[in-house]
Amino acid sequence: MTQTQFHTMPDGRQIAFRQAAGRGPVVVFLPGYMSDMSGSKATAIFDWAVTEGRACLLLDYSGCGRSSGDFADGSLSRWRDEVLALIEQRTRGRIVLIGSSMGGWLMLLVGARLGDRLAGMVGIAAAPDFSDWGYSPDQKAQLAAGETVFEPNPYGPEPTPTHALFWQDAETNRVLDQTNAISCPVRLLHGQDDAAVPPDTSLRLAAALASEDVAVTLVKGGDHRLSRIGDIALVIVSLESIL
Amino acid sequence: MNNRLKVLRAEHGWSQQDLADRLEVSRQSVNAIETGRYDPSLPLAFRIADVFDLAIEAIFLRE
Repeated sequence: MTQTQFHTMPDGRQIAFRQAAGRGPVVVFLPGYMSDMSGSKATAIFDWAVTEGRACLLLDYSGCGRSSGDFADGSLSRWRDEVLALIEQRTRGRIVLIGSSMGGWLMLLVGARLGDRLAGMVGIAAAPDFSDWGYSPDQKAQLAAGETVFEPNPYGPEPTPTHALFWQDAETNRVLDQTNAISCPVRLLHGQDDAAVPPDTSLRLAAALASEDVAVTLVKGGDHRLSRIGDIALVIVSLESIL
Repeated sequence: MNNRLKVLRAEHGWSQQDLADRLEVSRQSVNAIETGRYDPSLPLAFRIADVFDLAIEAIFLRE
């Protein structure tokens, strides 16, 4: 079944997902902030999995894409639990996580709870701890006071909101200032022209992982989306290298 | 507000990214409009109408 299905959380939340059956490990794609599973990277990975007979799972976080819920209620902890619920109830065997941007932060939080099921991780412009480095002191003060912060969206005219609930939860889930007990192979890809997430974030993340099998690839000319044909090919090659 | 964006996009054979590029917005914005999460601003609604060469009310429908 590769069409969109819905998983019901205990409180009635409907989580949209797509699943391809195939041999493991199961490749699970985690989208970025305010993103969804219809993006070019998610779609390309899913199509690759179907072609190769690989198991794959895509999802929309609550408040995003076709999932139910209000984006203002979203947080890393809430979305982490949705991902874990889907993995627990819809998959078997080992898991490889691919996280794009904020999804590259979420994959650490999910991975930490997967234990022996975690087989590998691929970060695409991973953005761990952006609640820290992504906001000015004034913005942090606003968020800490419970206000919503709006920022210009470089891809369009509509500003991107950050809700206090999201930010406050994110601050409790920071990973860069500690050693994370992740022991699986990890591949981190980052465009050198990424204007949203500094490329050195992937280097800092590599240093913050306990695993000794970590490689960072910097892509000349790559922007935050890393969605050029060559970028997506590199994502697939990186993924294949740890399967 | 309901809209016919997804159908119109499919008729043109465009991906969400193709339409987003034409509108100079993010793909996520196109997705959010299509799924009814977000109503576009009036300037953006006019741009969408221009891209499809249709009147706004032929794309966006009252509930």
